[in-house]
Amino acid sequence: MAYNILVVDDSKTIRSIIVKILKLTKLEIGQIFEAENGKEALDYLKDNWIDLILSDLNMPVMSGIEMVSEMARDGLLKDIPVIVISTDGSVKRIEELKEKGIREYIRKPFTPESLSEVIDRVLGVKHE
Amino acid sequence: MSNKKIMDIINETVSGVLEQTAFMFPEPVDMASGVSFEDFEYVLVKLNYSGYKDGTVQMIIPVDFCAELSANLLGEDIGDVDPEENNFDSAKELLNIVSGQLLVNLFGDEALFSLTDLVVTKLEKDAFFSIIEGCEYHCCMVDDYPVITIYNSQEVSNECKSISN
Repeated sequence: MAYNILVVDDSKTIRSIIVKILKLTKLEIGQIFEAENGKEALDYLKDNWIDLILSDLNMPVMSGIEMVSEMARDGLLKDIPVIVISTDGSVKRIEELKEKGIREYIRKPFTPESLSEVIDRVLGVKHE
Repeated sequence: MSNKKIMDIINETVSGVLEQTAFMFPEPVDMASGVSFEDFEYVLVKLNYSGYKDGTVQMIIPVDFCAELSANLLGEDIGDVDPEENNFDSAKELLNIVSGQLLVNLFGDEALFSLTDLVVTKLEKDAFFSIIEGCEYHCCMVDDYPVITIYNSQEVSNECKSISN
């Protein structure tokens, strides 16, 4: 199965790094979409089938938390797994996000290995 | 927390982030023997943090260093990176990551913070010297570029003093 992945971050640099890492993993990837903020991500979700979202928290226009809250209110979107990748490292914030439905949290700076491991875990992928 | 301890944590944080994200390896600066800041054009990147404590984190880095940072972050040759599109974005992201990690290293992962108002501006020479002469800062060298980090908290005194790693 090829996965469609949406990368949400206001930093083009970070989006580029994540996309590069995704292409280096053993994961079978269909399409990779990029959005600059939560609102743009929600627009992509209306028109595209997405299997996984990798999202920053602090973004202009709509934050990652607001995006996850909007998704939770939508029956079609609430089950799409979201992995948050952020500099915000407080345990309280992570608990708050998990209560809102995010699957996993990765703190920046992250390694390609750690990102790949978390994605595999969330998608339930096992490589031979 | 003593200023020396804070500077040690800044040093550890900046080094760790640059090593892990950009494969760059900062070297200590001997402030006593002097550092030449004259040879570069600089940008200032700044953000505010609020929550458990309030304050600012700033980094002052040479424009040419931004280009190397972008190339290293993206794993590309320096000539292949669009400077207009990537360099300042990379500088902002460096500060963003350094600040998030620094606050965890200073206050632990129970403390809740919001990071806001991330801005990057080019610095004129006068403005550069006015800033570093008016505050306490951490400086290290990365590939012969000075990388300056300024941490301000409501609890930290504004006594003017430079401490290198």
